[in-house]
Amino acid sequence: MPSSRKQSGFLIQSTHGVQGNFELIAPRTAGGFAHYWRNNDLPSMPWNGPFPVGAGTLTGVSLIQSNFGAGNLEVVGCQGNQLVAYWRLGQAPWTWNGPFTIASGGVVGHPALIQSTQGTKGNFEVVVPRAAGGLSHYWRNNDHPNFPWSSPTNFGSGNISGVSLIQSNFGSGNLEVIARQGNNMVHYWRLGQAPWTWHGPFTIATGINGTPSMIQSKHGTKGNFELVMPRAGGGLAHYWRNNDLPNVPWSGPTNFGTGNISAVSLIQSNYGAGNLEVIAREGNRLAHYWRLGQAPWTWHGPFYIGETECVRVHVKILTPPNIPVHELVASMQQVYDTANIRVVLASTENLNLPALNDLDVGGCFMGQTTTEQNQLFANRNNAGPNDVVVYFVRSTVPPYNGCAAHPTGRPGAVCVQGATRWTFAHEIGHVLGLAHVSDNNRLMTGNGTANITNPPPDLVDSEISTMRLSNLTGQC
Amino acid sequence: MAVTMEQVREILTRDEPNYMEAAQLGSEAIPHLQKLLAEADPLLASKATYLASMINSDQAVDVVKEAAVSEHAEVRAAAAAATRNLPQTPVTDVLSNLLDDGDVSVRKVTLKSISALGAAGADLGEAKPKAGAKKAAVGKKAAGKKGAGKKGAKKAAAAAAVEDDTSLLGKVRRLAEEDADPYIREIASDTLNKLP
Repeated sequence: MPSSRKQSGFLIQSTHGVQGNFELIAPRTAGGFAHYWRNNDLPSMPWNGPFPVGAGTLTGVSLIQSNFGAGNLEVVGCQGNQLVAYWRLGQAPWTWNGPFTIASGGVVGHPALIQSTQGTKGNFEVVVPRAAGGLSHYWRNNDHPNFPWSSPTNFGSGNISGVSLIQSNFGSGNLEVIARQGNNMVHYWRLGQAPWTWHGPFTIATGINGTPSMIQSKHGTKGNFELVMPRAGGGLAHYWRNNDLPNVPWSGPTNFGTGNISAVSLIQSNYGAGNLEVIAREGNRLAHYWRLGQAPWTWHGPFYIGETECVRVHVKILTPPNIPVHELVASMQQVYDTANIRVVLASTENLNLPALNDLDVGGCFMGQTTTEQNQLFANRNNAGPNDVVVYFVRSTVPPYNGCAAHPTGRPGAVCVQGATRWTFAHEIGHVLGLAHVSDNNRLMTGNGTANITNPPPDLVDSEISTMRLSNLTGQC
Repeated sequence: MAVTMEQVREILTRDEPNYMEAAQLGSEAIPHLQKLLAEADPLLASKATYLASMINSDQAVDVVKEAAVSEHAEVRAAAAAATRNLPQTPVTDVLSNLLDDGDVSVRKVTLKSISALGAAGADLGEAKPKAGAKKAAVGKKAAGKKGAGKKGAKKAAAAAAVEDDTSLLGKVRRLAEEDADPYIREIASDTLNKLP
C-alpha cells in the first residue's frame, strides 16, 4: 500500500503521468469543490483547473487515490453537518460521482480520509470533528461487496475544527491523528489491532489556527513525522518528530509563509530527495510552498495557484541567436515558473536592419539610451505597451551578452547572438525591475550567466515580488 | 601579483562586463586577451578586443589590429569600436581597412569611431592648426587645456591624425556619397561634419 494512501489531505501526488501529477481539491464558495491538477511531465509544470465538482457548501475536503480501478480519486467532505463522499475513475471519462452520504449529521469542519492496510483490499478510514465536540472515526469495509460504512466510534473532547490522519508504521499500523483543539494542536493515536483503543490528547503546540497536516516522511530510519500547521499569527509552522529516538521528541517550529491560513495539506513528493510540498488555503487563495528534501531545508513560496501572471514577450531578430529562440523561452519559463509567471512568446519577427546589427548601447545604463537603441526599439510591431520586446543582434558596442536599457515606454532588451541560455531570462529580469546580485545560483548574478552553478537558476522571494508587481506582468 | 587567465575569463564571461573596472588589470592582461581573441568564441573575442583597447598599453594596438582582420564580423566591429579607446596615435590604417569592410554594420561602427575621434579632437584642441606637421603642437596645446592630461593630448593627436589622413577622409567622403546603404551615407556625412 503506497504511503500516499495512508495520509490524509487535499493534495496528493497521483500515479497519473510519468512523474506523477499533483491533484488538489478545495471547497468552492459557489458550492461543491474544485479539482486542480498539475502536469508534472511538462517542464513548466502547469496547474490545470479549477474543474468544479458537486454542489452545496463544503467546509473541508480530503482526497486520496485508492487502489480501486486504475486508481480512483476518492473524496470525503463535510457538507453542513453531513459527511459525504465523491469518487472519480482513474481513467477516461474522468467523471465524478456523488455525493454519497456517509453520515447524515453530527459532523463539522475538516474531515480526514485514508485507505489503511486493514482488511485485504484496504479499508477507508475517516476521522472527522463532531459538532458536539471531540472526534468520530468511521471506516468502510472494502472487502464487502456493498462497501458498508461503519457506525462512528467517538473519542476525544473539546471543540475541534480540523483533523489530519495517517496510518504510521508503528505496531501493526497505528492510526495517528493530529487535531486542532482551540488554539492547541493535539495528537491522538490508536493501535492497529484490538482493542482499537484511542489514546490522547497529547499537546504538541499552541498558538495554532486552522487545519493541520501530518505525514510520515522518508527522513530517518523509521520515518519521521512531519507536521505543518497554520499559525494564529499568520503563516505556517513546521514541526517534525524524530521517530528514531526512543522518546520520539518533536522539534520545531520552523515558521514560513504568510497570510491568514485556514487549512494546509502536506505531501512528500518524488522530486529531488523527497521534497515537502504544501498547499495552504489562504482565504479563497491556494498557495503552494515547497522545501527540498535535504539541506538547506529552505521553504519556497508562496506560489498562488490559478493566479498565474504572464509576461508577453515579442522577439525581433536581426541575427538569430546560436541557441534557438524556443529553447531560450523554455529556459526562461523554467526559472519564471518559480514566480508563477508564464512566459508567452507573443510573436517572432525578422528585422532587416543590417546597420544596427552591432548595436551601440553606450554604457547600458537604465534610463539612458543611444540613438541606435532608440531607432531599434521603435520597432514594436504587434507589441502592446506592456509587452516586452527582445531584439537579437549580432553584437553590442561595447560587447555585452545583452543590455536591458530601453527608451521610456518601450520596454525591451537586446540579446546578442552568442549569449548564454540564461541571458534572455536575465535581461528580461532587468526589464521587470531586477538588479544584479553576487550569487551564481541566481538568475540575476552579475558574475555571468555562463557561470551559473546550479541550473535552473533561482529567483528569491523579493525578486518574485518585484516581478509580479511590475506593470509588465499581468493576468494571462 | 600576476594577472591570470582565470581572472580575465571571470570578468569577460559576465553578461555585462565593467570594462572601466576591468582595465585596472593592466598590461599583464594583454597576453591573455590575445589568447582569447584566438579562441573560437566570437563573443569572448569581441570582449577581449574591447578590453584590450581600454588598457593603456602599446600591445593593445596589436590586439585591435588582429581583431580587425577576424573572420567574425562582430569581432571586426569590436575592433572598430575599440579604436576610439586606444590611447595613442590612432590606427588609421585599421580604420581605413574597416571602412572597406563588406559588412555594413562594421562600416557603421568604424564611421562612428572616426566621428568620435574627431569630436574628441574638437573638444580637446578646438584651436588646433590644420597641418599634419603641427600634430605635436596640437598635442601639447590639448594637454595644456584644463582637465586634459597625457591621455587628452593623445586623443587630440589622434584626432589630428584622422583629419590629416587624406586617404581616410576620402573614403569617408565616398561612403557619404556612394554607399549602398542610406544609413551609412547619413552616418558618413555626419562624420565629416564632426571632424574639426
